Amino acid sequence: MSNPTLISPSSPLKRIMNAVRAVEAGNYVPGLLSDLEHDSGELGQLAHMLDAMARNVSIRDHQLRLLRKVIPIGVALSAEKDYNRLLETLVVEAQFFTNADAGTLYILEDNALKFVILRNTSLDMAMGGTSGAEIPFYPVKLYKPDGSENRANVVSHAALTHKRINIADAYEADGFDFSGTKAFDARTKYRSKSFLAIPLENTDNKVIGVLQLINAKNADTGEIIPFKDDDVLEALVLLATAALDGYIREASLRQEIAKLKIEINESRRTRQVAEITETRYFQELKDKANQLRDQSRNKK
Amino acid sequence: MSTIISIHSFRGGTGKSNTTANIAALLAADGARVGVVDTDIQSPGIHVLFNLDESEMVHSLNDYLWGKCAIEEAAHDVAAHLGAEVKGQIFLIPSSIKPGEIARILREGYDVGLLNDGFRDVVEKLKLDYLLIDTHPGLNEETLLSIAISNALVIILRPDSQDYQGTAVTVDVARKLDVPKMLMLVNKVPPQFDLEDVRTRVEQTYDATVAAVLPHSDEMMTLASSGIFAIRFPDHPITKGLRKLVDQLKA
Ligand SMILES: Nc1ncnc2c1ncn2[C@@H]1O[C@H](COP(=O)(O)OP(=O)(O)OP(=O)(O)O)[C@@H](O)[C@H]1O
Ligand SMILES: [Mg+2]
Repeated sequence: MSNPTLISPSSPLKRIMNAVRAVEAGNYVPGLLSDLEHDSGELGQLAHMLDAMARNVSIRDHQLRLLRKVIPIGVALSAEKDYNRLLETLVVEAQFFTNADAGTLYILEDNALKFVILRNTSLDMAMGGTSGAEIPFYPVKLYKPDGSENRANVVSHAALTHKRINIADAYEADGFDFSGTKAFDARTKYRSKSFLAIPLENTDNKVIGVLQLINAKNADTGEIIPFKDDDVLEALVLLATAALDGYIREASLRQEIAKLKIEINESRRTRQVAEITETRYFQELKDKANQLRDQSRNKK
Repeated sequence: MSTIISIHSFRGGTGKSNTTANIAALLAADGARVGVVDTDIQSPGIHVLFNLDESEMVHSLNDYLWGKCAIEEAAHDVAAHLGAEVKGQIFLIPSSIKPGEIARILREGYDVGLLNDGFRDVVEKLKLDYLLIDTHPGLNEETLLSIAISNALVIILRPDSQDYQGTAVTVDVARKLDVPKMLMLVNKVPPQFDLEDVRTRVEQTYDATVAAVLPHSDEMMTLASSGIFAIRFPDHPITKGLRKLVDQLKA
């Protein structure tokens, strides 16, 4: 039995043990032991093996996440008709995988981005979706009253340019005017910092909505950090696009059902009937009608 | 006693010819002797449903109206064309599909009264239980006559704004002609509509009985009038709806 006090905190062995714990805890960062791996001795080999193993574990972990989360959502998407709930699930999962404090899903309608789902963990807000709470915010217009593009918001910017926006701090970002985003923050008493706004494009390359994630947090420190690329997130974005597409189709069907209104212009109806029934031909026909029917009936 | 039934819609393409052919087939399946007249002289079509080729057309309704033949000579026995055995008989009196003959009758017109005589003659000569009249859309003289002599009128409409107003006028005109039985048929209803809801709305709007509400059907589209739906798809919801219509016509 080795006495732990004999191992100095910065010793290679201690670091390898810490790395093993990190693997166990699921927060191993690849390359953690890279300097040790250069060691040609047994410790170097051990560090190298551990790193390789940890990478495999994280890939498997990743695959498991895909398997456990994304695939069931995909399956639900093909069976489920409650698109509203699916969209909510997708926003929640996207928040989860990116560790984002807030997530919003917008739908593009009449040149404006309307809120469909809004969730903000630190403000304890959950609106739209299954929450039953209406979202009280005005849609973000894509164009200003003078017809020019409105790029003052992160989301309208993303929808107009068809480009993702991934910025560490919206307030400091060069080349963007995010006054609208700041105004929104002022209203909601929030400080949006890191942003990931993803335009959702359908198969015709038409933007049908935007998924916005705000304030990714470091899992340990809670510090707000920039968003990173993530395969699972990509899968969720694809699913969100499909679900939003379904949501739009369903909404348009619902509208049509509501539209089965049979409208008849009664004064025109009276006039049109009179135009026919006041002809001589019609009068004669009417006089003969019953007689004609009786003839055919009694003929046999 | 024989029953004359007109199948009409204010607008074109609602499914008059298909409905007429299917009613005929269902009635004949029950053993009835059924006559079918295509009075859509401008744009005849029902012969296609009965697979009656131009080469097989000996005489047409046009020949009768021009005095070239007796009405029963224009009647073609098409029961064998249905693709299934039926107990009864179906006789089709087609309109000419020769462009020259269509042009001539449109140009010269004809004595609408002759139609009435023809209908009565054919019922008698062929001992028909039913005479079905497939009409031209709109409310022209021959359609008014058909309605006036009919014991029953089937008015078809689609859930389409273009159909509503004209259908209202048709319903009123038919009422003024005292048609003993008037049934409405809603056809081509898209899947997102609730069929019962459609029935209620149409009945309320027109204050008339809706005999059936038939969904839009891909099978019907694919069949593309090359045969008779009720025979090809005996268990389809559309066929069930058509049977309901037939039951009400017989009642
Ligand atoms: N329920 C239905 N679902 C889908 N298609 C249908 C349905 N009913 C009819 N159709 C299609 O609609 C078209 C028009 O039908 P049909 O010829 O019977 O109408 P019509 O009222 O006689 O037309 P016209 O006024 O031109 O004589 C046909 O192609 C037919 O297959
Ligand atoms: Mg027709």
